Parts: sequence; C-alpha cells; structure tokens
Amino acid sequence: MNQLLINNGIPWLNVLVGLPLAGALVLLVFFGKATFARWLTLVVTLANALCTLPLLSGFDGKITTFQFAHLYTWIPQLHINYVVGVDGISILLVALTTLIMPLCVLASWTYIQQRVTAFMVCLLVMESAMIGVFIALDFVLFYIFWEFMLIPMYLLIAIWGGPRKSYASIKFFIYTLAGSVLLLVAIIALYLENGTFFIPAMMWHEYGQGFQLLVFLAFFLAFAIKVPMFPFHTWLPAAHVEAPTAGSVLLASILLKMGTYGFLRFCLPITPDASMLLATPLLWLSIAGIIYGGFTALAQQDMKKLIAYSSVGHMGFVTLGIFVFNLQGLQGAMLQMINHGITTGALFLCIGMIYERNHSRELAHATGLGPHMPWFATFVTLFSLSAFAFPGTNSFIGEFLVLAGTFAHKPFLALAAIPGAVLAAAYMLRMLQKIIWGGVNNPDQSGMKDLYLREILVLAPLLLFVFWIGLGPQPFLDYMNPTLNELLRQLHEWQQGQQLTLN
Amino acid sequence: MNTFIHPSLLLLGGALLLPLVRGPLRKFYLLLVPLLAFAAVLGNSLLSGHFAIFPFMEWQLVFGRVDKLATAFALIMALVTVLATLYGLHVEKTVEHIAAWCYAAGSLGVIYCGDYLSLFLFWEMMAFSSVFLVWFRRGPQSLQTGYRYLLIHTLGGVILLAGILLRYQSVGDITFALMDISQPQLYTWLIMLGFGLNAAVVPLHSWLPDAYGEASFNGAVFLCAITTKTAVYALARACAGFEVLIVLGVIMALYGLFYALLENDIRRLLAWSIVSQVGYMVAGIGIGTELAINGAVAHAVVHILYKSLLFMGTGAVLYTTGQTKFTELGGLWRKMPATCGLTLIGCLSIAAAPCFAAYVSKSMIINAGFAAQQNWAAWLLMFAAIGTILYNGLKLPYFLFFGENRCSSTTWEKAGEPPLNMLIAMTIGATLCFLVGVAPGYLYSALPFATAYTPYTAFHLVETLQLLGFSALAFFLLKGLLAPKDVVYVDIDWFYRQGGRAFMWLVRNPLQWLDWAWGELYRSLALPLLMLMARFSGWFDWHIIDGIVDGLARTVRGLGGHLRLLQSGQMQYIFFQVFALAALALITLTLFLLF
Amino acid sequence: MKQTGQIILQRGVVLALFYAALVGIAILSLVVENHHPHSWLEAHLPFFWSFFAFFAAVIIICLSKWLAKAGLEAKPGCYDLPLGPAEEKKP
Repeated sequence: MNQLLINNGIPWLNVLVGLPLAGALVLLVFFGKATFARWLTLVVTLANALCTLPLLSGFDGKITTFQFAHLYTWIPQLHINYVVGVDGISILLVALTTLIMPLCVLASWTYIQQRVTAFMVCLLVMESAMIGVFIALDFVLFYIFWEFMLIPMYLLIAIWGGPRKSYASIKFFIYTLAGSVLLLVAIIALYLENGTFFIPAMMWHEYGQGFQLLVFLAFFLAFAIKVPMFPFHTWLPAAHVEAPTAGSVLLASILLKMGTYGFLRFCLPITPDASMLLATPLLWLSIAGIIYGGFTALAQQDMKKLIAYSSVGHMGFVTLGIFVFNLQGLQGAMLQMINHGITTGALFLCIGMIYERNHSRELAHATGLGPHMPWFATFVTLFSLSAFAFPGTNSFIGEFLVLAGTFAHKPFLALAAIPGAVLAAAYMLRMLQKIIWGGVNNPDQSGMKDLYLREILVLAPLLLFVFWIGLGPQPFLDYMNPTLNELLRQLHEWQQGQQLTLN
Repeated sequence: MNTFIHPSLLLLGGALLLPLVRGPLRKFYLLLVPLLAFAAVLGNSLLSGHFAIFPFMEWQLVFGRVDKLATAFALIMALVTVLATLYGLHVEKTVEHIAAWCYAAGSLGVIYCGDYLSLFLFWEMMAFSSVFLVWFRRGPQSLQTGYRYLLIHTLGGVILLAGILLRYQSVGDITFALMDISQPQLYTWLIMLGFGLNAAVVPLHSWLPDAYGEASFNGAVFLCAITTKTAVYALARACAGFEVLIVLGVIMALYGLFYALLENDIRRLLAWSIVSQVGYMVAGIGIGTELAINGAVAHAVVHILYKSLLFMGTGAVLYTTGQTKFTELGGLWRKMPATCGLTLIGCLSIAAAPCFAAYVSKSMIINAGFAAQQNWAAWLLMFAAIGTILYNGLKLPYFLFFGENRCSSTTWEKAGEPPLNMLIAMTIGATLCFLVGVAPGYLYSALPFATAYTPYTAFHLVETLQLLGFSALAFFLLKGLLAPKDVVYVDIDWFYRQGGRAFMWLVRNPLQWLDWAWGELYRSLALPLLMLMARFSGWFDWHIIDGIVDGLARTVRGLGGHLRLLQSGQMQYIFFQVFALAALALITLTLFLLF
Repeated sequence: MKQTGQIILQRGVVLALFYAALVGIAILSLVVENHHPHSWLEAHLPFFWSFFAFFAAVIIICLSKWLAKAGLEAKPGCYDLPLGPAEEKKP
C-alpha cells in the first residue's frame, strides 16, 4: 500500500463519487417535479465541478504515488477493498468529467421534456459511475463502476433517444457487456495469481508469457470496444445518432476515454510483455481506424454520424500515441483524450442545438445557417478548426505530440497517419462550409434563432479550454508528466530486465 | 527604437476591432491599420537579431527574427497590404477586410518567425483566411473553387508538418534556417514540397490559376502578392542552393508562359504569369549564389509591385464591366484611359522595359545563372523572358485595351473609370514601379547581400531594347494567331477533376499523355474516387460489419425465441423438464459414484 | 473623311516610327560593346539579340498554338458535365 498517499483531510474523492449519488437519492424521493430536478442536478454537478478544484490545486506534481487516496476494507475474505486515488493519468479525466456534466445538464434544459426527473437521476448516477471508474484502484470496485455506467446510458438512449433507439441501445449494451465479461474473467485470473484485487500490486509482475497474452487480449477486447478501435466500432454511430444530446456528449467525451484509460492504466503496467509484443498490430489497427474513420465520415449526410465516425479517427490517434511507448506519444495521447472530450463534446452540443430548432440531423436541412446565426457560426467554426487540428487549438498540440512520438518510433507509421489529418480537414470543412454557407439550394433558415444565453454559457467554457490548451498546454502537461515518466521508466526497466533474463 | 513590434499583432488586432468601427471613421480606420503595420515594419528594419522569444513546452518560439532577407519581404508585404486595402476601401462587407488582414498577418508572421512551429501556425492562418477571398467573389464557381483551394493547401500544410516533425526527430530542434541541402533527407524534400506547393511549383501549381481567376476583384490583389511570395521567402530561407529548384524554376517559367499566352481570361493570364515569374525566383534560389539570391529577392519585391498593379487594373475592368474574358472585351482605352495607362505601366514593368520595375531584377537572376555555370537555365529563362514580353507586355494590353472592340453594348456602357480610391492605389503602384526602375539603389540596399550589380549599362539597355522591339515585331506580324477564343485550357488538375474521362482522353490525345504522365500518379488522390471510397466505406460499415453483428444478434434472438417456447409457462411442460433434468442428474451421479 | 484620314495618318506614322526605332536599335547593337558574352554566337553574330528575340517570339507563338491544337483546348464548362453516378456536388 505504499503506492498510496492517504488523504487525511476532506475526502474529496468520496465527495465526488458520493455527491451525485446523494443527489440522485433526493430526486428519487422528490420524484416528478421537473424544474426542481433540473435545478438540483445543476447545483449538484456544479458543486462537483467545484470540488475538483481543490483536487487540482492540491495535486502534487512531483510524486508518482496515487494521491487523495482512501482505503476502507470492504469484503476482507475476498480481499476486496474500497480503494480510490488519483494520479497524473486520472486527474485530468476526472476534471473533464466534472466539467462536462453541468454543461450536459444545461444542454438538456429544454431538450428533455418528458420524465425529466428520471433523466436527471440517470445523469447523476452516470457521473458517479464515471468518476468511480477513473479513481478506482481495486479491480472489483473498478468493475462495479464500469458496469454501473451501462445501465443509465442504456436508459438514456432507450427512453429519450431517436427513432431507432431500441436497436441502438441494446446494441450498445450488448457490445460493451460482451467486452466486459471477458474483462471479468481477466480480473479473476489476476486475482488468482496475486491473491489481491489491489491494482497497483498487480503491476510489473512476472507472469507467464501465455498468461500475460490471454489477460491482455481479454483487456484489449473490452477496451477496444470502448475506445472504439476499428473494427469494433460499429456500435458507436448507432448509439451516437439515437442518443439525446447529453447522452452523445457523455458517450463521446467520457465513455470513449475509459477504453484508452484502460489501456494506459492496465494493459501497459500489468501485461507489459504482451503490450510490447502486440504493439505493432495495434499501431496498424490505429492507423486503420484513423483512415477508415476519415473516409466514412466524409460519406455521411447525418451530422451526428459524421462526428461519430470522426471520433473513431481521433481515438485512433490516441491509441497510436499510447502504443509507441515514448514520452511524446503518451503525452499526445493523454492530451488528445482531453482535447477530444472537449472538442467533440462541443460539436455534439452544437448539433444538438440545431436539432432542437429544426428537429433534423440531416446536413441538407442545416445548410446556410451562417447569416442567421452568427454566434453559432462562430462557435462551430472554432470547434471545427479544433477538430482538424488547426494550429493554435488544443488538438494541434495533441496531434503534434502523437505524430512526433510516432516519427521517433517508426516514421513510416506517422506518414501513414498523415492522410488521416487531410481527411479530417476534408470532412470537417465540408460540414462547416455546408452549415455556414451551404450552396445555391439552401432551405429557408430565416426562422432559426441564434444562440440563447444558456447555450452560449454551455459552449463558452469549452471554447476557453480549446484555446487554453492550444496556446498554453504546459500546465496540463505538468499534471501528467510525472506519472507518464514513471510509467515509461518502469517499462524500460522491465524491458531491460527481460533482456537480462534472455542473456 | 529598440523594441520589436510584430506587425501581425497590429493587423489581427485591427481586424478584431473592425466590426466595431462604423460610419465615416471606417475608411480612415481601414487605412490606418495597414499603415501602422507598415510603420512597425519600418521600425523593425532598423533592428537585427531575434526578438519576441517565448518558451513553449520544450521549445523556444521565435516570433521576431529580423535580418535583411526578412526585412525586404516584410517591407513589400506591408506596403502591398496598404495598397490593396486602399484599392478595396469601398468594399462594404467587414468580413472581407478581416479575412484580408488575417491573411496579410499570416504572411508577415511567416516572414518574421524563427522556428517551424510558429511558421506552421501562420502558414495555416494564411491558407484559411485566403480562401475567403476566393469565396467572396460569390460567383457560381466560387464555392467549389474555394473548397478545392482549401483542400490543396491543407494537403500542402500536412506535408510541411510531416517534414517538420521528421526533421525535429532527426535534427532535434525546430529552428527555421537553412537546411543541409547537400545531403537531402526525406524531411528536406517534404519541407521543400510543402513550401513549393504554396509557391505553385509545377506540378503542384494548378490551384493558382484556378483560384486566382475566380477571386473577388480586390481579393485578387492580396492573393497575387502574398501566398506565393511568402513561399518564396520560405524557400530562400530554408532551401537556398537546393539544385533541383533550378530545374523546377525553369519548368515553371516555361510552363506558365505557354498557358498565359493562350489564356482567354485576363486574370487567369496574370495567374499563369505568376507561375512563370515565381519560376524565376525559384530558379534563383536554386542557384544559390549571392547574386542569385539577391536577384530572387529583388524580383519578388518588384513582382509584388507590378503584379498587384496588373491585378488592380484588371480588377478595375472586372469591377466596372463584370467581364474578364478577352472575347468579351477590347478597345477599352477609350472608356478607361487612366486605368489603361496605369496598367500599361504594369505591363512595361513585367516586360522588363528600361526605367520600369523588372528591368532591374530579372537580369540579375539570368546573370547569376551564367555566372554559376548554369547556362542552360539562363538561356531558357531568357527565352521565357521573350514569352513574358509577348503575353504580358503585348497580348494583354493589346487585346484588352486596344485592338478590336469585342464588347457587347452593355459591357461598353458599363465600362468606365473605377472609383477614385482604386485609381489612387493604382497610381501609387505605378509610381513605385517607375521609381524602382529608374532608381534601384534603395531596392539594392535592402537586398540580403551587398551587390555591385548595375542594370543600367549601355549593353544591357540595348539588349533589352532589342528584345522588346523584335518580339513586338513578331507579335504584330503573328497577332492573328493569338486572337482570343472563348475556350479554356486544361491543366494537370484536369486529372483530378475529371478522373473518369482520363482514359478516353488519353486515347484520343497522345501528346497530352507525354506532358502529363506524371499527373497519373498524382491523380490517385482523385476527388471523385475519394468520394466513391468514402461511400463504399459507409456502405461496407453499415451492411457488412454491422450485418455480421446484426445477423449474429438476430440469430441469438431467434434462438432466444425458440428457448422461450420452452418456458411456455404451462405447468406440465415445466414439470416434465424438471423431472427430466433431475433424472439426468441422478443417473450421472450414480454412474460417477459407481465408476 | 478628315477623321479617317487622320486615323490612317496616325497609323501610318506609328508604323513608320516603329520600324525606324527597330532599325535604330539594331544599329545601336552594333555600336555598343558586349563585355560579357555568354556564348560564341553572342560574341560573333551581329544583331544577336534581335534575331534571338524575333525567332524566340515566333517559336513561342507557334508552339503555343500547336499545344492548343494538340489537346489543351477545351470548351468552357468542360468540368461541369456530369461524370456519372459517382459524382457528388464536390470538385
């Protein structure tokens, strides 16, 4: 347990997990009052966001142990404990989650008109589960939170979704569950090997090669479906298209990151040999995802599907950065996780705003909006610039670092990823040009009202981060550097250790 | 003044505040901002060294590297921004001015930057703001043309980025300086290609006539000066002496000239002329000696002067008559004498007539070619110079302003002198062309290397007069052959615009194949093909991959449906199943115990 | 009549002046010394640059017409004709 820095002050992490649950309980008691539900959820999520601030400011950027940790025994006979903690990898993801949540609530203010309380309960339970996933340091706890997310998400799509919601929600649920079942098998196998569910204790152990490979493949399936990596991605377009705006935003911004978080937190330290062995095929799979995502996005007429496929491409860059095993790649991957969460979340919010007005996701119905909605046009232009990594925006830094890391590892791979960048520009610009100027046959958009104050409040913080990370990424990199350096150091030590045993 | 003021900040700040400035103050503000930027550049010209250095992650970003090369380009860019803004002073839409200033800001940023990261930022800024100048023509073709332009420039930017990253990985830093061109690596080629695309190096040049012919009347003035010359600066900084550039430059000079001579659209003719003239600059950079670089820089400076003047003149024709084709114009000197006269000065300048602009620069490059033993290049450039005289010094003025009047009555009615601000801008441009032609001393002192070159030798004078006079003779004897026809001339971009017809066309026109064999490879990025692949991927994804998944799901559901029958709820069936299972278990247990 | 007369006169005068100038330039070329001839031809052939300019111009004009006929020419709007079902609104 020396990897933990136990928190003896205010239990911030417990608050972050517990507060939304408490809010959900309150809503269950006062069921049925829509306005009260909205305001309470907003207050709770804002409070949660504020509680992240002490976490960020109190984070020690020099140590590599898990900070703000809590340890309570839970089921001693099975060595299951309640252990939570943050380090460089998880703290930014936790911050992203708590930031996005109030924005989702605000975006759903008028979007959701039926069963509002139930919706808000789902959102709160999801927030709790999502934060729990990122901070859990006990495998069973992690698994519980991981599965806990599925049900509210399923409900979000199935109840408040679009025309094909039952199809999309079941598909999402079963796809993810299929992966998680194997995850459970892997967890139990690791427990049998180690005698504990405590995650840091499982890292950097001498498991047999075959064992490592099987555990890695089990992890890989679960996380690859989540990321989503090609070809395990087909649940994503369906789920995104049918989900309500808040659902899409959470799916894109947070849920997808859990897959890559899983790769970083589990695959690399627990099964390093297998990771390094399978790195090359995984890198090529990432490239395939980048290019494939780009091509399919270019063909789309439905805006949400376009962004969904673009997510496949963007997450391809993240997995590319992870499996090159150097600092810049990892930094780029971590940063891209945050960037993608911000940018894609913002784009889904924008599309949701169009949808609220003209009830269509078709690009053809949304052309020529620029002259009538100048605020909207400005926001969507800037977010689109970020989506294809225009210099000065957040994604440029992330992509630059990933490409730099890939070039250092295998230059040919990076050159193969370059068309992906051009494709990203192509489909984003196509969408942007159509939305803002359209062509000669624009539908009559004069009835479209420009953004309300609430909507501007939703988009503004995201825009702030787009440029903050783009122009001054150092503070964000400072959070992740110690953990990433430590991870790499241990990886290299492991590699050298393996070399010695071979010789 | 010892402080460095970045003119791009002034332009960007001015652009940001422009929407707030209305009423009579607007015209004054529109002139003030570029003038301030020019003043800042003038102030910076007294400095030398690295300024505005900011640490960014693990690098040092240098936003203010000042030396003679940078100063020369910055001065002319800032100057042309003033002239072009003056030319478009009466344009109402604020967005057009904002786009133009962001474009100029990007260019000045590239010129002053000292590292590749900030270069890339400004490079993309240039690409993204200049596309608006194409879109603002609002013609039927403008949207598609702009989109093509943007895509090609994004591709160029990505190639440049790949080069920067590769270089960073092998060299370890991002300083923007002369690369090791004696041993070119992959990254050297990539960076050169990235710069070269913006410089419209053949075969990456098709975007230029495509977009510049389609730009708005005042946008074209910005466009003609900025993108290509900034690329020339970048090439001069990073690739000076890279010998392949000599070949590329000569090819550009010749390629552009034939298209220009044939072209029916007055502004596309000028656009091809840009390809040709930038060829001189690229060749000069390739030669790499002091005289050659001086010549390239001098030619870039005067080129901006006379090309902007020429675009201003033809822009005035476009603005008043709405026409840009020779077949719809002609004999306009009667109705627009001042425009005609000022444009003529531009034509004389590009033809390198004595006392006018290019006279003092073109020959520097050619002489440098001879001095560096690149005789073949120098002779071909000389040959191309005749071509320049033909299409720009003779064909353009003759068929546009003099000669046969092919205007329709409406065109003739509309033709007239453009508004005063446009005329003033043109007059200033023409005066500068003349001044730099008769007194090149100031220009020469701004060049990166000290030079003892004098253009006004008796020999050079007579040589030039012979060139001018006898090409004019040939022109007037053969001008029937050059009469304007309402046709277009296809270029390499034909392949990526008409991918499907390439084969049929090849069969019919074997000569074309010889010229464009290179284009075949390039064409594998054909846009229709791209869309086809995109649609296939979408179909594949939905029907194949998903089909398997859905098929599996349906099978499972079917199984579930069958299994459900077992749970029909009828008691007898349930009892039967339970007893059957129990019996099976009992038998198995007994057998197990027995054995 | 007088106007046309004036015009003809102008044209005639212009032409005469032009030819006179050409002759004058040609003679000048004989007089002026060439310090840096770039080739044997240039040093020894009188009126070198005049010939160069004239013949280069003729070659360029004829070559360009030949290239046009060889297939560079196309009707305006040739890019806008539909390709087939694969065509989208895009370039």
